[in-house]
Amino acid sequence: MGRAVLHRAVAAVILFLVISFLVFSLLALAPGSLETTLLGARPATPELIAAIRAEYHLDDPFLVQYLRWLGGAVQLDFGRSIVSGAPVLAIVSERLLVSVQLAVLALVFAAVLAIPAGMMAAAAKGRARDRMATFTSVLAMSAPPFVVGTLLIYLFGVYWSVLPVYGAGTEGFDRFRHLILPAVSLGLGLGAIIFRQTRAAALDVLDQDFITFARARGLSRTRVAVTYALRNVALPIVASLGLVLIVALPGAVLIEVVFSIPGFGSMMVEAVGAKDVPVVQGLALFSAVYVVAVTILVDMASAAVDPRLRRAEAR
Amino acid sequence: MTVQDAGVAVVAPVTVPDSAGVLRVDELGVSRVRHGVREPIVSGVGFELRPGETIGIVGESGSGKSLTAKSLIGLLPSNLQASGHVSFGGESLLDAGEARMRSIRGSVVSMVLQDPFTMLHPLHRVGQTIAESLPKTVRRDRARLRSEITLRLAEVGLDADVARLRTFELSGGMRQRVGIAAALAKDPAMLIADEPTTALDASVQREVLDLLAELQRARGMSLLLITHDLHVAFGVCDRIMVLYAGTMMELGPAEQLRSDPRHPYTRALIRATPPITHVLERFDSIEGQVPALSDVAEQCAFAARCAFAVEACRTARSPLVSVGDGHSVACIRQELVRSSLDMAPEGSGSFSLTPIETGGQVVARVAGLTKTFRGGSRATSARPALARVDFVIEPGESVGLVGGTGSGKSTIARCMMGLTTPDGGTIEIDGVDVSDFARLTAACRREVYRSVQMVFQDPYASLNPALTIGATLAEALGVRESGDVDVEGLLEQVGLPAAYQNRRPQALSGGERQRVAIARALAVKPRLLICDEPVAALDVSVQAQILELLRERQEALGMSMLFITHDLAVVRQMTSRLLVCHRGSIVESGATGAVLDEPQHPYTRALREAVA
Repeated sequence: MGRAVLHRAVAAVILFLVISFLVFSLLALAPGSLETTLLGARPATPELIAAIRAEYHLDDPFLVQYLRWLGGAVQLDFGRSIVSGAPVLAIVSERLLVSVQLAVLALVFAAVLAIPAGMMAAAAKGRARDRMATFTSVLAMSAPPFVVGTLLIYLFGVYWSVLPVYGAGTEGFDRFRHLILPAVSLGLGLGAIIFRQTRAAALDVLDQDFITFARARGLSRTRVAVTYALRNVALPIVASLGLVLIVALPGAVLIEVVFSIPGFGSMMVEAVGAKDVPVVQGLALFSAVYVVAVTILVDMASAAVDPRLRRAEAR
Repeated sequence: MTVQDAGVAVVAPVTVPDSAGVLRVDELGVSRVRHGVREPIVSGVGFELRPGETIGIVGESGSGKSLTAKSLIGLLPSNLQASGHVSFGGESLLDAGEARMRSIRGSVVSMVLQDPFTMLHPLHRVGQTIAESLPKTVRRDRARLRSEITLRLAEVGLDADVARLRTFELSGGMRQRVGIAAALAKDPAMLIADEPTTALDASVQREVLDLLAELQRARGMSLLLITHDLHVAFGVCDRIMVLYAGTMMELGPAEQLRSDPRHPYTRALIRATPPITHVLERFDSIEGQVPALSDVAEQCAFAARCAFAVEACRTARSPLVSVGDGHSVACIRQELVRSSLDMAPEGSGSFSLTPIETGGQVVARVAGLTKTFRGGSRATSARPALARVDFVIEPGESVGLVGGTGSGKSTIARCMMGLTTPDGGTIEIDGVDVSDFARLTAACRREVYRSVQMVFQDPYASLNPALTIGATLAEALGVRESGDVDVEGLLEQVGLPAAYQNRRPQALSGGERQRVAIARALAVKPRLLICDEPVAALDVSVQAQILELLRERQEALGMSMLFITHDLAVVRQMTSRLLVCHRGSIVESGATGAVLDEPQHPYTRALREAVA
């Protein structure tokens, strides 16, 4: 296990390097000049431009620029936003926190709904309940999240007026209340994916001999469903949960717009539009960290579920 | 038309006033319901299982024996439906709701399944598997639970330490023992064992069967044993029911069925299993295949393959009639059948297999072969798969290679075919050093594959499902230099009609597929044919056909054969020399008859005793 984590960490560092380099070069290649952005409303005198170029080291060779940035990044200094002048680390981590909270909440909502539904549908394969659930999942998957979001805003924000529909709130319970509707709109589509994965995996497992044998011994229905079916379906479910958690981050862009949440996705759109290089780099790197963290979590969860994997890694 | 001779009465349902512990099955049917259409799979099954009694249900694949068993405790797949009457201790089981059935399963009627590798929870520890079936009061008390688990494991011959192991750390035999212990944890009055030994090694099979018989006696429970092997049933059961295409052919005391089988199918089954004591001059195979019940609903299901069949057999179902002593048979010709054939095993060792004198150089020479697999589970990586294997195959000679699972016999074959690269030693085929196929040139490799070919165990997996039979064979023939592509001739060699070349594998039965696989191997006229368990996946009645074909082809073509099997009776029929493989070494070799009749090595002796 320890060795596996070490392998994973080395791979992650290499991954971060490659991603940061790619993002850095992409922005350098993009059309439009950085000076114009940096000038803002000021008159474009040659002196001012020269000053800006000197301040941001724009005359250095590309590789030197990259290495300078990397040197800072290692010390958690990602520079300052060109637009606002605020430190990248502070604004990105604040935004990322909101988005991760939203993604996790959406995932919990989706999983709580979809996993039992998937198990139920597999157990009732071909019957009315199964067809109903499968149909609903198709509906949930094809409904655009922003439409669902708008509908929810109307229902719970305007018609009944029970939940906040604007912004991300402050923190703690207020944050939670603010994120309920966005999480539901986002979680519906994700839940549909989890539902289909669970149903397919469960269909496979329910056909297995050990289920028949468990039933032949008269074990209780809960025991067969949870200990035998769910435990053995858990592996593909955990994998799909990880995938969904990764997709949820960029997938939330539209939801963030609908609910005016100052999140990761909307920040990415703004930063790219404004050619705010340090912020885009910071965002890209942090999302890479997020993806790697989720993958490691999935691996650890899989090993916890299936002892055979622990042994395979130990070798 | 008179079909019932004097003295034979139609079986009347017996009414026993005391029904405690009695399983009563009457007119049981199983049918598949598809788009509202009922297609029968099992029909008219009826028997009574009394406390302490063992009944065997014997049949080939497709006979409906497993479905019959599953229908008794309400475990049929959801697309199948049971009809008729099943009661245990007077309580109807088919009408009982799922909740009631759950309380019956395990504590009144329990079941063990065929495959110990898929039957247990793959992630549980043995202790958990047994504990979950024990009563709550026992489970709450940790000390009592531990002693109870130890007790249950001891009952099936396992140490208390086994409780800590996980399922995937156990051998097949141990898994089946754990399965039995779990099935019996609620102390049921009756146990259904569905092919409990089929997936196990021959030597372990015997142990598990003995264990079942012993448990049945000690607990006084009734046992319903489902098996495809009539001889297994003879060894364990009080009474035997023979099932064919979902219908009962014969039911009677095991001793009577063995000494005086009345149904032509029962007789054929008995004779289809080759003897271990001597070589048959000809196999008694049953031509043809098991039909679907819906195709033979209005006739005797066996009529198409029966030598005694008359018009009456093909126009009406033969009723099950009693012939006395609780023995009943569904054959209108049974009097004639009985008088026409003696069941005494014919020929007593007069026939013997001798190598065909063809001359020429040695076909295969294996010397000092070693192989160790890495990355396997702990148990197998501890020792090498092959530890210095030496043997020679002469031209025209048929050599048998026997051993249990993991003995290394298949690894030897794979090394000879270049499918696995050995770590050390040499393999020479037809004078060419093929120890490492990767180092051979393409032309040389082609040359080698013209000398050696292989027939694999599973004909369902060894043929490309996308190619027609004709294309498969033409492809194989293309390797031959002469260039003539005579697919029909090849099909004829293996006894298949020429029309088969346009079919695809899924339209063929298991036996027919294996014939195609043999034809494919014979296409290049190899000097050596390696057969790796060629009949292990086939039904008894089809096995004999394939063995007869292989023996006949070997003789006609004068090729050498390396015949790999776990079945000593089969190897007796097929080979003149025998190699016994154990833990990666050849522990004994010699003339097949001598090795089997007077085994020297303890392992060979154990193998031999497991069969007797």
